[in-house]
Amino acid sequence: MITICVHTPAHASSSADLLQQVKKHSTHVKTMQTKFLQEKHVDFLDAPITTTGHMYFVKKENNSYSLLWEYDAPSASGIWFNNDVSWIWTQKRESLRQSKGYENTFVNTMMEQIIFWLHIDPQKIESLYQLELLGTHSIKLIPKRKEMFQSITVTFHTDLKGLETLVLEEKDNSTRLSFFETKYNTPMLRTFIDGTPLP
Amino acid sequence: MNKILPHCVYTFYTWAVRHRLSLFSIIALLWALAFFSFSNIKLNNSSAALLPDSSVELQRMARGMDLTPFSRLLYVDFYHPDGDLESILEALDILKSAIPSDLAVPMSQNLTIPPAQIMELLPIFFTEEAKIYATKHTQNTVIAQSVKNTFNSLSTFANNKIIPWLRIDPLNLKSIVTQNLPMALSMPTNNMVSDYTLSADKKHVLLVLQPMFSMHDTDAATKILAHIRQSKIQFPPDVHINLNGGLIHTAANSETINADIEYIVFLSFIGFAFIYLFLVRSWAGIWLLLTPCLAVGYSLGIMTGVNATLSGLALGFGAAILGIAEDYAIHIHYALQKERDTSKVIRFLTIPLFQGFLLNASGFSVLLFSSVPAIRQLATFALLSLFFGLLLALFVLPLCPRFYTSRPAALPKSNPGTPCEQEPVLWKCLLLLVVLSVSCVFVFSHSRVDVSPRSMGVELNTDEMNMKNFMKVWGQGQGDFLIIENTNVEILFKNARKIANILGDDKDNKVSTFAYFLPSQKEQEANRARWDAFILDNSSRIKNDVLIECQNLGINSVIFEPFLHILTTKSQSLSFETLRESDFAQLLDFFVLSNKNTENPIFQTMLISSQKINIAALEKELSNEPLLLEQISLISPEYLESEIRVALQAETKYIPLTLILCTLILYFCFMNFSQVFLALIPSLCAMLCILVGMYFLNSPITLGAIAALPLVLGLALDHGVLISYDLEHGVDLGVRRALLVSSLTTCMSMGLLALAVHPTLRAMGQVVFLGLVVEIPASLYILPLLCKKRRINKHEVI
Repeated sequence: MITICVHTPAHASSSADLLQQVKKHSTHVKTMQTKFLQEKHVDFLDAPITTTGHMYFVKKENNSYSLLWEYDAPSASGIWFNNDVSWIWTQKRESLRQSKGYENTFVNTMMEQIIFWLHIDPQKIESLYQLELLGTHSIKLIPKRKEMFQSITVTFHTDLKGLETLVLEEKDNSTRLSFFETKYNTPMLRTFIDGTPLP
Repeated sequence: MNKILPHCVYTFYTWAVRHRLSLFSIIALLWALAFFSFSNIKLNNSSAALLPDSSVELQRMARGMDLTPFSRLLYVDFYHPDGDLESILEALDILKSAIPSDLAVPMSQNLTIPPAQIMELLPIFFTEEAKIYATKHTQNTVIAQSVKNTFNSLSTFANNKIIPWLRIDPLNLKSIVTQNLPMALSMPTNNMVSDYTLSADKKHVLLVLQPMFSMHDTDAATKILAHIRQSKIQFPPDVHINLNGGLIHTAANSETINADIEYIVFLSFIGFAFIYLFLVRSWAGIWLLLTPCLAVGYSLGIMTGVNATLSGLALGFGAAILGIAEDYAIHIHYALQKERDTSKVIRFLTIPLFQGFLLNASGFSVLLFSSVPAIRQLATFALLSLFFGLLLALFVLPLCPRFYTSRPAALPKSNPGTPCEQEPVLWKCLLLLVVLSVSCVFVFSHSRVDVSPRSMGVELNTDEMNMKNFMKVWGQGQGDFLIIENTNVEILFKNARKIANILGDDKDNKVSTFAYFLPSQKEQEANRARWDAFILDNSSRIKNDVLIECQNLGINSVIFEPFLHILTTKSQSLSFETLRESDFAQLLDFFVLSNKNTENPIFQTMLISSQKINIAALEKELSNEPLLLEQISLISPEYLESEIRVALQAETKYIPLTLILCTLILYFCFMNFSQVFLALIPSLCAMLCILVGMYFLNSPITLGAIAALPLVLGLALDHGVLISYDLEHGVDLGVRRALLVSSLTTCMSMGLLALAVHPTLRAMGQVVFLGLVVEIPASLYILPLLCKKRRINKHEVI
């Protein structure tokens, strides 16, 4: 009973409060691996375009990040975000190349968003967005400045260590990311953590 | 002339004595008319006024410079040392909202043209090469792979801006169109933040403002700068800005000039107070100030009435002639102080003053033949000012209170004469003249001459305006611009394509032109026919292949509906007018310029070259097309400077012409070589001192310095004539004191500009100060040393 009381986060009374709690609980997260389901709703299709994959995240000692975002289905492709540089590959990892042009726009924004939520800074979030508390673990953010996303809805895991869902709304489409089977601070098998080429 | 002129002046004087009030009324009325005229003054601030109109190329370059958007834009570089983009964007918003839209509007740096508009142009650009490319990209296997890749992109990292592209162009055909665009503007770039360009180090954001005024508009520039500064107060901490652009140069110059003028006027005021307190010592000194002001007012009134627009620079430099106009009044003033009998003053001073006027006027008359419109206006302005200055000094000043006498004495038949008449020694004068001339030539050959336009403005090196820092962040433009003009857009674009092809032969050189984006009607027809045939043969197959691949992937073919629609669309021709009405208009306005206010506009198009353009090589390449060559001009600071130098070199022929004319007039006046040489010596002394002084001050001889030369040389010539006259006739009518006061007042007004920070004002001031500092002792002390005493003949008639 005592253990449950200690490890169950208190309910947030405001969005600022929720963010503070997430910061508190996610501080000690150094690595994370999770599976994800991505659903892309576009205005010209009735059903969403669905993709699945997995993500590996490492907070490095020099305060930089490494993030591997891989799609498994319907076709294989991946994004590796390391030291603010994005690399992408399609079909085979051997085809890894630095992202360019229009790819950068979305890849960088998306990766920055994910890192943003894995290494939370309540003060910065409040300066950038208008916040609306949607539930005990959920928060809606509307950018104060015009940017790619019109709104972002974040739902945290009940342990408040990381994300459960992330909905990124654009003008005519939206992307919903659901994370599951999330593991924290487990040893990373991938060599990408050290910045060495992907296997 | 020696007899008639004093008689004319005296006759008028005796008439005016009786009708003094009427005369003053006429003067006041004329002043009111002149005031009314010059209050409607329209300044011509275009670059064309400062470049020879005989040079078609320079005029074309000037038109290009005035029209090209590059010269009009105002760049604001926002910087945060830690790269805090949020703070930067907040500051950017503050600044944007602080500037009224009637002064300047922010320019979109992310020009996105709807994909459909671009893809609709496929048929226009469907050349034989494009057909080969399209055939390759529409093979069955390629279509299957492309559709798969496109869907992958769509389902993963495509955003709102990319999705329409993926839907309309799954086979990557857009490059057939976009390769003809001057820049890859159709796709979003990665170095943007909230639609603003982000620097490579991600610490700078660039805001581009499009002012509603010409880059030369001082008022607008000052207002915009004031708004920017006001907004800076509200910026978040540590956000800095660095401003650049033509309008900023104008504002910086105006600001520096205003700051200079503030304290120089104060110092001038103190200097004038001392001169009037110790040397003039009479309330009648007020007429000394009024005379040149009236003269300049009348000139300005006439100039405004005759010319549609006046060159601001011509007026600025022309105002320097005030010093000479004032000189006439000072001589009359001192003569009247010394000699109460006005008739004697008229008898003695009319001739030397008129000769001085004739000399100055001859110098400025030569400038009327200059090919630079601003110099011609300066010459007219100077001639009118000198003329009115002389008229007012001779005819009106003696009628003013303090000098006025109701019963004028009869005009003396001879000069008053004193026992101290002197005559110049020919060999002494000639020797000194030769030594001074040779020295001038020697020192000039070692002087630094910089007639470039950049020598006329302040260098932007403050924290707020720093050209070098700006270039460091946003890149130094290594290339050049070519401006091509024609009255017909189609011919213009054809020529531009031809030149771009020649320049593009150099693989390292990237040439941006809009000309490729509007093929000739004939080419368009051929391309469209090729497209129609291609579609007829392949559209069903392509459509089928796309649908099959969609089925294989299990995706809805609606995704590629926009692309499938293109395969069935009928091609349409493209014209300059249809482009103007499309989303390409902004791009078109950037590259194709025309003066819309004229009835028969001349169109200009820009070619931007990433490398320096070798104009000589281009001229060689186009040697068999002289007509086309005449329509091209290169806009690069170096080339412009070299062309201006050539144009100014052509103007130098007026220097010997002026010297010859002045010497002839002097000889005509004196009919005696030794006196001619004597009168020239103060001017040469002044010239030598200016050259030596500028050399040791390490100041180049700039256009500003050259513009101040006529004032110094004109005054020195005046004084040379008056002193030689005084020495010859030995009439003590205050000539020496008048000379001292005239030179000192000019020194206190124009000479103090040597303290200015602004390079043009400083150069003008240095020239005036250095020239007069030697001209005064040369006239007062050296000239008498070159003369010997002779007995006077009391009955000698002038």
